[in-house]
Amino acid sequence: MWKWMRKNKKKQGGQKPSYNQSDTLPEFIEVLGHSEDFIQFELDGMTRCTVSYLKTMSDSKILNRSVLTTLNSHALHGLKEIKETIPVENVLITDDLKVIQTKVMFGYIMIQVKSSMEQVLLVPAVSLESRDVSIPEVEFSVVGPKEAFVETINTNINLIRKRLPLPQLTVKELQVGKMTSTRTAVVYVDGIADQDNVDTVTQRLQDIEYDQLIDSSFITQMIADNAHSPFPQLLDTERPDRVVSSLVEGKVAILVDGSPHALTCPTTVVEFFGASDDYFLPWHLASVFRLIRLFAVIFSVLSTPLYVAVLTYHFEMIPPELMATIVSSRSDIPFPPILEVIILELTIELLREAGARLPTKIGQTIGIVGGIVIGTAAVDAGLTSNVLLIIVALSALASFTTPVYQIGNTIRLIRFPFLIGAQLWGLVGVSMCMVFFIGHLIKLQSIGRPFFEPLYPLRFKDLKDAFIRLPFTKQVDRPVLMRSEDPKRMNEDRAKAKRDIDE
Amino acid sequence: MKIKWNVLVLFSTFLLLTGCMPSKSVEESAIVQISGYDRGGEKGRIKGTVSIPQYGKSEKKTAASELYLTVDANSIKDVEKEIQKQSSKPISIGKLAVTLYSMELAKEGISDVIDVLSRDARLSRNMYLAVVDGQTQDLIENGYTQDETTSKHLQGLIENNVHHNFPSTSLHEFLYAYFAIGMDPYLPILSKKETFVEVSGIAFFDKGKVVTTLSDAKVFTFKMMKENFSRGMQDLPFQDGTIMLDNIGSTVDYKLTGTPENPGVDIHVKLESEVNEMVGVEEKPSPKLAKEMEDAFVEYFKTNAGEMIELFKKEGIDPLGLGHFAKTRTRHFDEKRWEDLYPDMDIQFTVDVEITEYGIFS
Amino acid sequence: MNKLNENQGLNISENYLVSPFYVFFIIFTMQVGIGILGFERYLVEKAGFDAWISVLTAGVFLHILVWIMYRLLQNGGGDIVHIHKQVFGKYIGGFLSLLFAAYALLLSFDVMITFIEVIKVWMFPGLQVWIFSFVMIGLVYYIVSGGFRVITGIALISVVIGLPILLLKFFPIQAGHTMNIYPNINHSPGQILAAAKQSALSFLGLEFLLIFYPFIKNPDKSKKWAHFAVFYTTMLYFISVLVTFVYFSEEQLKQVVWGTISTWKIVEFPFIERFEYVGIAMWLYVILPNICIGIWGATRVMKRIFPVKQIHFLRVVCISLFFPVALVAGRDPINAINNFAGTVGYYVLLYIPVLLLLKMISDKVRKRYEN
Repeated sequence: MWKWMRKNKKKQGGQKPSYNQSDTLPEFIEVLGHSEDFIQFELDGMTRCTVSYLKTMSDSKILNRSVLTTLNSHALHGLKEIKETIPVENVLITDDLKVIQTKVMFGYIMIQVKSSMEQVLLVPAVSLESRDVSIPEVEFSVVGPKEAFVETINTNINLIRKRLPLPQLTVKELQVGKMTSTRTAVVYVDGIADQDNVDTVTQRLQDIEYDQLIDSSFITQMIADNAHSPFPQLLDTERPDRVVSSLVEGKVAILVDGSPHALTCPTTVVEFFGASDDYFLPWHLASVFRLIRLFAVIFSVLSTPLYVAVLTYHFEMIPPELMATIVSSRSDIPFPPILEVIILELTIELLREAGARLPTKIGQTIGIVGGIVIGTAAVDAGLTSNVLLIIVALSALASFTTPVYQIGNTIRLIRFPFLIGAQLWGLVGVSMCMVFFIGHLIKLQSIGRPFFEPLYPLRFKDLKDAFIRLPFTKQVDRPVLMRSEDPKRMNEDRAKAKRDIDE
Repeated sequence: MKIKWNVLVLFSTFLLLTGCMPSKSVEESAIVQISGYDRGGEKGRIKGTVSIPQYGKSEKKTAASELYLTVDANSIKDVEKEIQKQSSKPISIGKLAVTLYSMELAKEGISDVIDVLSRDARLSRNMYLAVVDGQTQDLIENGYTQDETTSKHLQGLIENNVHHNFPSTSLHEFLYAYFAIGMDPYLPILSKKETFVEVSGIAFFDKGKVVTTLSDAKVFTFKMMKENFSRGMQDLPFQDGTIMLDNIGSTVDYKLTGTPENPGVDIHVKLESEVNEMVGVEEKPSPKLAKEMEDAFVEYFKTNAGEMIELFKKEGIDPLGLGHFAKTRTRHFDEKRWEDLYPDMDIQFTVDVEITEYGIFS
Repeated sequence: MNKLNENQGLNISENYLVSPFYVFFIIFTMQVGIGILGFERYLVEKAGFDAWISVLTAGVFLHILVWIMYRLLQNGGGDIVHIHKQVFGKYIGGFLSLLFAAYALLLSFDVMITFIEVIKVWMFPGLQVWIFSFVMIGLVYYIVSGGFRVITGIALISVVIGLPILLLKFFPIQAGHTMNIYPNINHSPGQILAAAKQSALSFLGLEFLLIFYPFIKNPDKSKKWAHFAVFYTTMLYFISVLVTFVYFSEEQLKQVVWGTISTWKIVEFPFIERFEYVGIAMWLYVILPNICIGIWGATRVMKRIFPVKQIHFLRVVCISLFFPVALVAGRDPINAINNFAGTVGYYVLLYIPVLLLLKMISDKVRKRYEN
């Protein structure tokens, strides 16, 4: 996708990159003047100047206490003098229209004096309305930190920085979106992250040609290597602790103003199945839970297709003991297995969508009521078999075990091609679908790094923290995938130095 | 790019419309689990009986009902065709678990049946075959227990007995022996008693025909000679009463003796056992008594085995697979010559019985 | 290595190279294909239950062949097209390379029709071959268009997924007659060698090293992996042969068309029976790399000879394979094609040492000429 956009950009060539560019300062003021919240007045007191600002964006405290009092109590001539007197930091004088425009739109107060109409003084008085930092809702964990990102990029960077007080933690800011000019930050640890990765990410962000950037998920789709893939190629998280640990591993994080999620890359498919809880538990427990989660995902994707395949074509495979149960539960169902499964799967998806759209409390009720009432009623009415109801419910449950929400959606979706495969050629069809998806995963890349790593390319070093998580003492190296400039996490010898008995 | 997508969508619709295999899901097919073959009314015709379990959506799922269909047909494959005529659902023989033949039919030869069984990819290799003393139709249609289908009952019956006194059997093993050089197959005999069925002996085949049978009293000895096993019981009159021997573990060893021109076989069995029942035996268990019992058993087994070997020689069959064994021990094994020599071959049977326990009460 | 660079098309960018380690997976998966499902019967026809010796003998020959191929490639640098050009000149060499490409296609074609035959016999007698082969070729196209790295990945996954199937061998061993493999040598060396030739046919696939050699990073290091792969394949075939011999009696095996699949039939777990269905479905993973490498190799050779993009060749090949795959049906024609492919493969294997000899002679002549 981004390739395509780049092509487009080349075509446009010398065109102006942005819509909201006025040619001259008066023109800009005039455009703004159409809005009621744009205030402009002239001061005739000690200092003669024009003050203009956006009422809704600027902090009236700064205006009233610092700016107006200073201007009224001192006789100042020229912007330089005003700049020196006003007790606000980061006041700047500029004649660059682009800067003026951006700053004023963010809530800076613009001061003009008659003597030099071209130059203006910009006083930062940005008033930021933001939500308080709250607990993570999508990636909740029982133990561990309970802070989640909010919609303000400054707060988010603050949450990261306070966990990683390193001068090397670099934040590069870009403005993305032709109309929204959204502040987007590329965060990485200099000297650990591979410069190539940083460059790729920056390059791709710069190349984004779109008018709006409402959320970080826009970026996930726009800078993905393969935009047609159902798999997210950037890991999306709302946990600052997870971002920090990614940064330390040498990954690059992308933060977007207005989005309570950070993106980390390069990522791999196994990473989507790792939760932050895995690092808060002893390694063996964490490993077992990870394997359970992996099994749950496989079950979630394959259980209903296998049901269809076995019941439609291969019922020789059912052991005689199970045969009676399955056949009698299906004996009155008017539909073939595939239809039965699709109806039930769609019902579950319906419940899920309804639950997600409704307010939390009602959503829960709908989930329970829907699950119990519709399920029982469907079985009683003889529309679905209770064996299938169990399987579908379990597989829906299993698909919730993925710690990252995005991949959960993918799993919901890819079940359907498998179902079609199962209906077409039974187990062979399921196998074919599987091969297709494996081939697809092998082809996929996350900002140019293999997405299916550490399975392919097979990297045993990275397998230490993939399906199982070995203890921290074993995690000596940063993942090979990141091509980190400083691959060692710790001094291996010191970590492994063993004491003798009684020493 | 656009055209490509159109083609793809078109094709997948086409695929969905036509790609589905003609299929019947599991509840829409008649799953035959047991089939039996009898001699039909006219000469050369075969009467086939199948039982199809009917799974209803009832509260008590354990209650099994079955549908029995019987047809008169020309051949085995014809039976399937004829049964199809009577059935409301397509017949599926993939889950066939037990196949029965009446003794009458088995004596005439069931080679063509075997051919069908070995050819069909849908059939399980773990299926049980058995010969029925009497009509298979009666046996199948009898209905034995409330909560089991006939096929499950018979399957369980054979399986259970194979774990005890009867030598192991399955379609695969039958075919193995049927095709192997120097080995002949055997099958268990089922017979119907009033309201129940029992395994009542072994039928020995020469190629596809039953030539002789063995009663269930001697089956233990046969199994002992045939394979290693660690269960099963054998009773024996001893002194004034009966003692019952529980097998803990028996191993059998064949050895080729004699010269290549005049070969012989030594069959040596080591049997470890315990005696748990001594009805009518007055004497207290003692090493001396144990020795006596051991001797009695050795004597008994030897006689039995001797008789059996004579029987096999007389019929020219080799269910023990001695020829098969000899083949693996001889370079350039001459099958013809072995068969010629077999009736007069020197086959020795020796057995060591060791009684190690007398139970927890003495 | 300088020699390499002057030959266009041979200097492959680092991004597309694979580690020497993967040579193991590619060769292994190439050798283990559809043949292993039913090769026992043909061996038994030739050498009875002594055929396990033949398998080992064939394995030894293959090791020698691997050594020869590395000699050839290391001296010649590059791939078979390059070597052919050096030895025979542009036109004859190109023609021979094209023959090699045709052979690669033949193998892919053979594997595909045999797999479809297996599905028809064991699962769906009424399979619509048209649609099935269309989807299968589409899958192959998707993978091959990803390039050699993706194919290697599929090969790796195929080995990993294929491994658990090996554990199923435990079931027939349990039910087996271990004494069957005695007596040791009951057949003449001639018969055993004939069976060895027969088993070499199942081992085909090794010769693709001649094509993908330039794609290996540090090719010298890959030698041991290639040998290891051949060893592993030989062991796998050896074990398969032993297990089937133990499970079937000799005369019975002669009648069993797909020995290995038949042994799956007895696998039973509490939740699943009749493992052959799963086994055949899983076998797709095993044969897919075979088809992919075959088609990739063929198109790669064509690309090296003609100045056309490989993707165009790939499209042409896929479309032209589709019709014969969909048309060929029935045991007899498929057997005939199997045998034909086997014979051709056998001569290809024989041709490799000859090629080394010719190459050495031509090198010597050239050197003398230069001097």
